[in-house]
Amino acid sequence: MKRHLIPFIALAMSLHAAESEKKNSCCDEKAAPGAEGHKLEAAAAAKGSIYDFEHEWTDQSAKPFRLSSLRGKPIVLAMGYASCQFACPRIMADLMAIERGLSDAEKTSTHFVFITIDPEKDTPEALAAFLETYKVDSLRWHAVRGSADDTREISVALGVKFKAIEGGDFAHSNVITLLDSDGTIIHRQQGLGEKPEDLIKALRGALKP
Amino acid sequence: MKAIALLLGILALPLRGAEIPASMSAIPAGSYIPMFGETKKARQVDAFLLDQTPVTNAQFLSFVTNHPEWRRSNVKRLFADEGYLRQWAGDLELGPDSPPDAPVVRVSWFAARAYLKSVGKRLPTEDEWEYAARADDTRADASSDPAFLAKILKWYGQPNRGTLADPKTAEADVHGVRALHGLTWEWVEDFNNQMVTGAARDDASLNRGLFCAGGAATAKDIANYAAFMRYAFRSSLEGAYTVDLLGFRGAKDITPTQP
Repeated sequence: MKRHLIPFIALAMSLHAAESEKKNSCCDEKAAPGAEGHKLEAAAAAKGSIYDFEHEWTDQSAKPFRLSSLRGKPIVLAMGYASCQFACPRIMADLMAIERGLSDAEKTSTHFVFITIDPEKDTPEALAAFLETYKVDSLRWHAVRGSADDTREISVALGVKFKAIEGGDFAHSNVITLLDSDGTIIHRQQGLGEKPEDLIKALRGALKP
Repeated sequence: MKAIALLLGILALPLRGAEIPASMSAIPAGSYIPMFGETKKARQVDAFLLDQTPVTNAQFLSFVTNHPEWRRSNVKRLFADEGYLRQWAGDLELGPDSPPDAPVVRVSWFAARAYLKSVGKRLPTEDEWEYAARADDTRADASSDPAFLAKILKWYGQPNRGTLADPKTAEADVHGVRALHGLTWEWVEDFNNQMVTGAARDDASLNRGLFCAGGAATAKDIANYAAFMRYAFRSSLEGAYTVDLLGFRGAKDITPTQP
């Protein structure tokens, strides 16, 4: 028990991670070297309610925003950054595919939140313009930014890895997280261009009274 | 008031207008080449303050005493797993396995950050930690010395001999910092930035470097094996994880004092 096994455990886990990378890679075929080729595999998600964070974000209308203000409704959550040319438009496309799969009643009971990993550049104006590009309903779509500290904290809880790379871009894992009406993570969709059925199914489960 | 200010002035060594608390060391600015990254380019590290020793059981006990939400029986699962402070005898009792002066371990990343926030500090970044950890007792960068690295690796391969020692008994490095190696592993702020993957060419070589021992068979890479262990370990962590030999220490930006 007292044996010092950490390095070997770590090694084993890393090797395991290397294996699963092969399986999960979505972008291997055509990705050219450069920002679009950099992605980070997701880490595991946290247990407990994300509402336990007391983070205060600022939304696309420059208003203060707390995730817990959406208590009682499921949240579909993703992280990215507005100036991202490759992965984030695809994350938005995946989020919108989820929304399209919902009935009108389900849509009005669901919120979509995009948290920027680049709070420096992603001002409320930039985030408003970002949402505008996709013509989404700003009543249930929230693009938010927070302090570097809070951004790092929620990314760790969501298992989203990110890292600034050259040229103002970021490497980050592509994860869509579903929170139930109490803020607990109940489903995660990993990678880009995944079919939304499983997440929608979990979402319908969360919408049931 | 003046007397106190004077006293503080004497205790704190001036570093280009900044004051250094007695328990911290100033790590001068410089650059280093991380073992893994997008490129092999050197990364600039600004001067910063680093705790000379890791946070101890006694210090962490005082924190949880004042912040009940961080006690073992109160902590939310979002912030720490079931093993949080398991080695303590109770919520507010250290017990025989956790001497007051030994580093506190089995604290999650969230808990470490909460502690440091309460004392006006932060976790060091991975760059800061790795940059500082190249020092031995005479050199700021001993990382090209096989003897220095062999010493670290020896510790990585050693069984844990029960109760942790007081880090103040460890040898101070050239900056006055102790026990970065040889006692515990330590959290860094951006532990979750590893494992860059994808199809880009440099990524492929990165993966080879990380996962294939054969790829590490050059002298330089063998020398880096100690760093490799740390990167691999960090990449296996999650924010709520608590681990037997994983503790932390504080860092601070160097801010010039008011004129």
